[in-house]
Amino acid sequence: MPYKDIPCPLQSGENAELLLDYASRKLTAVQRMAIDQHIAGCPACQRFRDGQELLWKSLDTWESSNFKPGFDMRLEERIAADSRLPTWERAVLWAQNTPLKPAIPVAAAILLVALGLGLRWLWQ
Amino acid sequence: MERDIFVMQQLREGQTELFGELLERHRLPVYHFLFRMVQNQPVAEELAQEVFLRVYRSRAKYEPSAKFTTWLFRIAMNLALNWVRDNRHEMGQGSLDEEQADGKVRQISDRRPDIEQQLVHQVKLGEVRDAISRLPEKQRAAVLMHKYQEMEYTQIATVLGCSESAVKSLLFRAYETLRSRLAHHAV
Repeated sequence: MPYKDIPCPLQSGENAELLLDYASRKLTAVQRMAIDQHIAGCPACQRFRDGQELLWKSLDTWESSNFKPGFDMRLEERIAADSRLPTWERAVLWAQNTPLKPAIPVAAAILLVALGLGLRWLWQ
Repeated sequence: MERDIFVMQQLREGQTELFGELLERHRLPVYHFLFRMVQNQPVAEELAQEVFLRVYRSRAKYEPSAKFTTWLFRIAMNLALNWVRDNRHEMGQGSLDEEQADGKVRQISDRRPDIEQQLVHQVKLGEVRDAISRLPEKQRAAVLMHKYQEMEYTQIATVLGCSESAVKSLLFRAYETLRSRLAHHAV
């Protein structure tokens, strides 16, 4: 069994996530048994497990709400409006949303400098 | 191949009618995540719309480098964090108008024990929301993805753009803070 006689997750930092996952019932039977065996002789891990299980119950009280009806219809309208936008406006939107956004001013500056150098070369 | 990735590839080929399938599968998890991030129902709805609009806009350039949901939640998280940074003072102001999961506005029953129970529940709920909202933004996002979306550590790491071990220590710190802030719930 790979998890038998595991080192203390709190002291060693190894498999520490098993203590978190214990409360969320994500552990396999083997993992759970290994943690149970360790916890039986480790008051610190026992306190951690108990605290985490209580926290889990508290967090469960926060249910999300549902959205209002018509979500899909509103989205369809937005998509339709979006597809009617002229190409340049869509390019602006792309530039606003792209993860490369920070690189755009740098690229523009490089382009300007290159243009300036090119014009100077032509002038001379 | 993951069904979502297949659908995105079909969208790229022009089969836009399949977009509804993605929407059907992911709108609720995305909305719930956003609702807990911004704690305001109309804002969460608006941001969820924006997420799916961006997915639709990106269909032509979409390259599957990770799970579809990882990419989707990355978009959602970035939008939520931007909103939170721009509107810190508005966080949680939608709470009084919040509706229940069935869409009905909460009503307090006439029976006294129910009122008491509801009040206790409301206080606890308020404390949970407050405790989570006061976490640093990366910790907050990690907790919401781990606890409520039940995402794997690797997936959370990709969404947050950090290593798996960084996510684990982020979550450890976050839960430690929450345990101490909500310790009195045990009493």
